[in-house]
Amino acid sequence: MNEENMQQFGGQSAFAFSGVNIDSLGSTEYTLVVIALDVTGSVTYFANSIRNCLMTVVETCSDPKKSPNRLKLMLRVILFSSSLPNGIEELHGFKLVTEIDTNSYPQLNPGGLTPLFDATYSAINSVISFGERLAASDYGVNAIVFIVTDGEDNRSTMTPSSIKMLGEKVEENIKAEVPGLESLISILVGVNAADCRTSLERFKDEAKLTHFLEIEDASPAKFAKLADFVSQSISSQSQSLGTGGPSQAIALSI
Amino acid sequence: MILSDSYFSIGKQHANEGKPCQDYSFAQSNGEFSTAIISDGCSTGGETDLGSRLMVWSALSSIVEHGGVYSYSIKKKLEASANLIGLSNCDLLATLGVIHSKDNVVKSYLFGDGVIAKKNDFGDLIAIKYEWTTGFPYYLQYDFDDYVAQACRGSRFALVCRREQWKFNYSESQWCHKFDIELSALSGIAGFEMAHPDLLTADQDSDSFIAIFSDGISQIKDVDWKDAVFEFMNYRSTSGEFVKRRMIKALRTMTPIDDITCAALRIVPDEINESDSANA
Repeated sequence: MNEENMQQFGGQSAFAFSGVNIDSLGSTEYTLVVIALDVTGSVTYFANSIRNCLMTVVETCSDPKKSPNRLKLMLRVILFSSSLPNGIEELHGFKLVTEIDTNSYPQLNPGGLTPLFDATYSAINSVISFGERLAASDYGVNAIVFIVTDGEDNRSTMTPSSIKMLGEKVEENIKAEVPGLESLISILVGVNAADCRTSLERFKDEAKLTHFLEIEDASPAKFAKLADFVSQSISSQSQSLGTGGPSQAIALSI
Repeated sequence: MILSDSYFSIGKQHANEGKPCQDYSFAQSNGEFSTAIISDGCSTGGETDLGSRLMVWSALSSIVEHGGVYSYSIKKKLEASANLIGLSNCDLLATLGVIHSKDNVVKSYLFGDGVIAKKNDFGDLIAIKYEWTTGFPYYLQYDFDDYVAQACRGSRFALVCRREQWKFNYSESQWCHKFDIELSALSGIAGFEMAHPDLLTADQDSDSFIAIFSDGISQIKDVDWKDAVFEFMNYRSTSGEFVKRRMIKALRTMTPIDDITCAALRIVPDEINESDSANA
């Protein structure tokens, strides 16, 4: 599978995304994963830890011994910062984790302000949209998204309310048995963000995100634990495919 | 290019009774041949869940060895493997359905009951249902050993199969009954080689599917078998595990009473295959 096998969705929109050509897929069901990473100026001192965390997650999820469902996982990675065009840069669209070369992940170049709401909207909108396409082609599909940030929003076009509407649409479709995601889990991760904890918790509630996880500091050890948490959460959500519901409650502590 | 896939699942009756699924299937495409094989174990036989699996793998082994479907070879392999693990004749009472493609010729074979269907790229369908009027299918072993038939069901010559053929015209969106005929062992028809003109794709000049189903397709609550064929072959995507995806999706809104299995080949003509490669 190569880059030529990727398709663009959403046109020229700021929330466009890419994904593998569905006709090339072979399995019966997939879990869609999005990891959105804050690359604003304030993460400069732990940018390497962020990159290493991402690489660890991908390597764990594609390891045959650690990830029995690895052939059913598709990952999209986005960076967000006002220094990026439209505030969001897609490192890669939805592709099988086993097809990702982690060495291709660039060194991060932090800078700019925080379009947190836009990144969350992009992440959730993309899993819903790509999930609907998969479901229309008979694939079973669920999703889990992680938005990793060290600060509150201060540069977005979208609002928590618009994100909430996305989630409500998913719930309505599930109840009405409209083809689409079987379940969606969204996890907001606040790293070294004690001073904006209240703001992030309010965002989580207003946008009706599933969970908020706070990580006290940005040490390499904490990022290693974050990688474990993310990998296990992905695995758990993948195992719930076909059950019609989300994975069991994730232990939110690191 | 030929793609293949298969699917099987337990029916409500066996699930409620704590019995295993007695249907099994397997499909394979390699550079030399493509084959889709199903087997349905007799529910009043012995350990026919094992029997159906041995039947499928004996058939595949025979195909690999001989390059075609030869009932005597399959029977010998079946009996040899059964003897190794102490199974008896009644454990091996299972139907056998095969779709086999080699050298641009597709043939279908059925020992027992079931449905064979073909769909072309316009969406038209041909479906042929084989049903034994006594309720007891003609099993492969009966071809060679009337004693087996006597022991398990009575003389094989008393068995009669009714074959009904239907056609679905996509543009008219309805099924049309073509004809019924009755076949019996007494008239010389034992296991069937269904080199049926309507099912052959000798030229392989159009994208088409050929699928074989166990008789579980006739035992879906409130669903006519032909409508089930239509749904099960209403593929939304046709790569990889295309049969499994469609069956899983379709069965979510159905209640299959009996175990059900399907194996299918998708025949992609060379010009479509080359076009896809050019566009990739």
